[in-house]
Amino acid sequence: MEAASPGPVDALRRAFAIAVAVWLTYACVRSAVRAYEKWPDGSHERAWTTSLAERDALMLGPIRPVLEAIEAHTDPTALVLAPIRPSSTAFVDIATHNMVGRSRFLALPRIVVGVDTEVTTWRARARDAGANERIWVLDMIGVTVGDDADLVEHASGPGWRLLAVVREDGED
Amino acid sequence: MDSYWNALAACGAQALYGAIALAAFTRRRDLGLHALGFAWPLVCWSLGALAVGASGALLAAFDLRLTPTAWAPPAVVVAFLLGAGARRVTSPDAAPARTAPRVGALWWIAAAAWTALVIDWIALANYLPVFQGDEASIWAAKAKVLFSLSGDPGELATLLSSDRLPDHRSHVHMAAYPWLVSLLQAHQYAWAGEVVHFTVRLPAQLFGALWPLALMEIARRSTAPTWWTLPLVGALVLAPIPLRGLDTGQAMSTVIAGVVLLVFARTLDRRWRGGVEALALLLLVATKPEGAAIMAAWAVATLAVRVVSRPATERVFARVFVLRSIAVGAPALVVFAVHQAANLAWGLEHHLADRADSTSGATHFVTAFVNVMTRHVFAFDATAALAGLALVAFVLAPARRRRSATPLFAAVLWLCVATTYYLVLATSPYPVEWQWVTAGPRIYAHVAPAAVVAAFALLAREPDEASEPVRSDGGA
Repeated sequence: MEAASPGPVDALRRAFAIAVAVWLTYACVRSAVRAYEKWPDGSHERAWTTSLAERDALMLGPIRPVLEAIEAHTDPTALVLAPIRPSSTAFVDIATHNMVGRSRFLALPRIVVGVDTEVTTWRARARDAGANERIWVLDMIGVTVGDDADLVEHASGPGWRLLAVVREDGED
Repeated sequence: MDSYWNALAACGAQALYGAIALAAFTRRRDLGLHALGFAWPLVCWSLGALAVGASGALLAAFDLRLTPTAWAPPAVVVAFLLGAGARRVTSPDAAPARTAPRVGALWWIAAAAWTALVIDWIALANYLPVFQGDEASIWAAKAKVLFSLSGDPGELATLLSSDRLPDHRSHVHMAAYPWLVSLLQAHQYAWAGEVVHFTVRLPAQLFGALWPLALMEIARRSTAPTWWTLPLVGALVLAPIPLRGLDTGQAMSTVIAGVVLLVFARTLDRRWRGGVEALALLLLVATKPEGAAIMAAWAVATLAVRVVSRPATERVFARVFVLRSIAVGAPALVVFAVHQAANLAWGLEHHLADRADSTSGATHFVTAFVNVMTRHVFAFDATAALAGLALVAFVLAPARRRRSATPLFAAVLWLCVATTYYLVLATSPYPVEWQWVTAGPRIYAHVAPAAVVAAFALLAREPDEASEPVRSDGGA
């Protein structure tokens, strides 16, 4: 039987295995260290000592009042338009605390859509959304300041406003 | 209010459903704890997840509000049916397996160290709410839609299939994906009574904690020495990508778990092998589209084992083998078909099929192949080289060990899945390099455990030279 008569080939097999095992043992330690290094300083302590309520305040931060306003004033099927700047390449590129990007995902199932800031464009988007949609505007870049025709403010905070779009038939 | 108590209650309920299923499956007082070893928690958690998922889908189908009290009764019934059904599934592989694991203190120390590490890691990962990536825009998004609109007839289908604005994707990105992880998250919401952001990942994170334990159990059952198998397992579970499966890339953990369960089933007594295989296939197809590819690979790997190990007097496609293979795969095929039918009814398409391939060509195949080799098979600056080294080890193993069932199954499974992923990425309508950076590391992590198990063949001992009693069919 092959294994019953170890020869040079078996010795080579074993040498390969030893080399791989040694390298992998080293790689194990290195991977564990790298994995821990990716977390910010002090996060391990915070992981065990910070309550969920404190995490909520820390991590949601400026997003929380926005989320609460969206949840309080809109229904789950609402369409919330959140204008963003043309220079933004993605929802999460917003400079102001990633507010649009975060609120888009965290406020789901309400849809929070980023559109560009040209007035004609985002108003056109609102018109295209469908006659039966209830449309809201989450303005976090001041696009509605001085241009709030057909808009009714329902909530506001530092740097943001939540406004309902009033339909031609008078319903918002 | 987000609370660990709500999350633990939801997880406890899921574990309870799993235990009920295991009671029906094993009909043993210890619920199979002794027979399954370190893999017991993963089998239990997977059965519980399937019970939660299937019962949640039923509640949603009947437009019932998702609450713990509404969820529990059908979950218990589904759990019992899952376990009782799994008991009746016989593996197509008739080879006997003696499954006494090696008793080694090192494995217990490794398991304890891993458990401590992942508890810390989960506490860390829950420090950050997830608001981007697939987890947010696919699984969490679907869970939020499902939970918030439950009990509201018609809204779910409308929202899923609707791109609410021209030129914008549906807010539930990749709506055609399977639902299991979303249903697990919706279960967390149901117990919390609202959409929560920190603890909702626990049910999927725990898959990431448990599949390494199951892999350790496979290693314990190998006749290869611990000094060889432990670094392989350790490098895999500590590799950056799988470890990240505990936080933002959680959905891949369920797929890795399915692959590990498929391989683990090879080491089981044949009475339970078929049931665990069927469970693993269900888990895979209910989690991600890749599950279908892995199920096809399972069929090929099973056939390969059959070709090599069948009795000389039997045909390869003997009637019993074919019928038992179909029986193992049938539940997963039904779930796959139901899911595709729902997508068809809702007008949903997989994102790789929803636009014409205008950019890919022969260069895609070359670029994708180079990516496979340099980033996921032989990336020596990272533990990703583990897969390549493991497969080299399998090739270098004595021919007899390569032909034994478990390593052969694992090697063929790896090869088939890896080839399928390669072909999908090489023919993707998206830019190949972007596709690779986005999906490559995650999907190649799916099958890395299979490569590890294949590598056990290199130093597996022959039965007659092992000091312990003869173990599983393949010795690996």
